[in-house]
Amino acid sequence: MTCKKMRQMIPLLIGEEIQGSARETLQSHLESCPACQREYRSMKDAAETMKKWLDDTPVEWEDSQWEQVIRNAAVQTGGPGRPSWIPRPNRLWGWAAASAVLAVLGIGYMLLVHPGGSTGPVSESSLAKIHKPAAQEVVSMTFVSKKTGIKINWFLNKNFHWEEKK
Amino acid sequence: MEKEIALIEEAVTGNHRSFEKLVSPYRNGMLSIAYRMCGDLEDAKEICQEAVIRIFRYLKSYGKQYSFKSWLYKVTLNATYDFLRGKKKEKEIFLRETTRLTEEPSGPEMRFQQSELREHVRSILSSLTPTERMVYILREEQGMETGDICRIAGCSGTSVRVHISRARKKIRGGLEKIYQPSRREQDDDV
Repeated sequence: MTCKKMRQMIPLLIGEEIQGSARETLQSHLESCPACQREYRSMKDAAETMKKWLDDTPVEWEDSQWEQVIRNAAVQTGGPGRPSWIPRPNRLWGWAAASAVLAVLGIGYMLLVHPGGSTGPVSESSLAKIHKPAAQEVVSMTFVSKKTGIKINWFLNKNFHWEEKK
Repeated sequence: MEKEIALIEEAVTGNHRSFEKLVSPYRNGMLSIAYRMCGDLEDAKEICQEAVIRIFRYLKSYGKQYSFKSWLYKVTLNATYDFLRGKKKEKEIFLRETTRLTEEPSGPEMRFQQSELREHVRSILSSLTPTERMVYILREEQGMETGDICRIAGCSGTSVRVHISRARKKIRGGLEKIYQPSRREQDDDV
């Protein structure tokens, strides 16, 4: 280890940036070289002075200014800019509320335009679709004799009264 | 760390309260970095405002592989560089008088000492290049590890060490300039 090399490494040696065997090599040179010791002490004093100066001149936010910064950020990023103590509603609830409003508006519109159901002219095809027979009108029952093979058909209407077969 | 990740997840959904809780512990660090880089407190506050907006906007892109603090400081430094580039006044700012800090010390003597000290810090830091200043502030004032500084500065560990080394040499030179006149006076007295 030469003094020239040592002088290059001293700024890193004071800041703990050099570790392990490299550090040990530098320290062993330092112990045996008074000139490098002076250089080391000078560099270390300067670093400590500067560190103390930085610590003695802190830069800090005032609470009100910082709150303003957060509020501004909220406004700039599309937020409501509300004070932090008011919780922001969940986005999912927002969508649910919007859907509910749309549904209510849709129903209101339907009731206003078609109050009491359909009143306008209706085509026959659509009537045919709507007025399908709700239940079977006529029921037939067939009895077959095992001995003679004679068949008797009974026709009943939906009230189970005899229906005359035409 | 886990609490921080939970706050990040809440803040990403647009929860400003969580965002405030997440960023507030680093607010003075951010302001300090911006101030040491640009040399003007009002400009530093403006830079921090921009940085906070960017952090909120790009929080989704934060990769959890390294600390939130490093990411936040990186965004702050990028905002600082953009500000300085935009105004093209890095040099001019440093030549300007240092503005009032948050709390003035009581008593005229204390006030004088503080302002003198600030002037010394300002003049010494102004002798460094922006990268040297950034690396030095992150290391000495913010106490960050070399690995974190590499991520913030976007350079290798060797490069960070070179910048730190140069910064320390220049700072020693700056301090010698400050102390030399008084030493010379002492020598003259003897």
